Amino acid sequence: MDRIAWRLIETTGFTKLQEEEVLHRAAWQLLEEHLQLYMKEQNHTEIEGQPKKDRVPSILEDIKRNSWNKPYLRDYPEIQFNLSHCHGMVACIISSKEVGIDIEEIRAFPRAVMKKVCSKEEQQWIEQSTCMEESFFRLWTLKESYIKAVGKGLSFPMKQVDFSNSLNGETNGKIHRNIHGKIHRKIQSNQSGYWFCQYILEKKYILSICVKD
Amino acid sequence: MFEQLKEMICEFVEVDEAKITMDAKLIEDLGFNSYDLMCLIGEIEEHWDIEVDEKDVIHLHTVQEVLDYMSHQVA
Repeated sequence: MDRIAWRLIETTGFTKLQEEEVLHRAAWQLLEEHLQLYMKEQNHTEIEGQPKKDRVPSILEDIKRNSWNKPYLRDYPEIQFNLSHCHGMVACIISSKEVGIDIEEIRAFPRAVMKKVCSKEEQQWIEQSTCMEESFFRLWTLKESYIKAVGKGLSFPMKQVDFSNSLNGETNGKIHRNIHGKIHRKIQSNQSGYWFCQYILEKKYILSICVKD
Repeated sequence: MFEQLKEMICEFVEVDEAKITMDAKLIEDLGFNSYDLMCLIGEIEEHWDIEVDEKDVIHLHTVQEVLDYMSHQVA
């Protein structure tokens, strides 16, 4: 069972650099807490006679990174995870499968970034939607979650992960979601082998996750 | 080119202009994240009518490296 968690973080009054540091720490803290719960659920109870939950902090000390900087647990290849943060919010996902997560605050965006990362069809979908900011960040976080799942960083062109076929049929302004903010909609990209889901949180954040089949 | 780039950087990250030196690292010193970086790349592409290959983006760590890349592309 995948474990997804998010937490609001107060960062008022910080400079951008200070905020980045606070959010970075908060995201790892959230991950650490949920790794404990995840391991408990998965019955990871003993290792060499030591209860594993006591070993979680040392697990985080053993974090390694692949050549594109994606973090992983060297001693626990069966546990996959990913982290994300944005202004005022941190999030993490833990799974047995390859996963990626991305969270963003819905806000104004420069058109140049939309042209850089979205296909013509996606740009059209954004421009015709009732809330362009929400639509853009839905696409941005979906694309970023995929790139983070495959672990290749920004070297992977975001335009290549295309959601236009999946989102074009959506009725503008009528996104159904459950009480946790999860959007009731199956989202697929042109990249096979991965599935996606999205949440709208606190009315101003978009959270997307990508999981390998 | 440096002055224009400086102005663009200020649009995306709230940072003291004095901190935007040639040696400044985009992520570590100026607080860029992946979104800020793609915004900057998008603006550079539009403003100077060049195309920045994603494979090159990961090698652009400092302001100097961005300027060198741009000069090479514009020339």
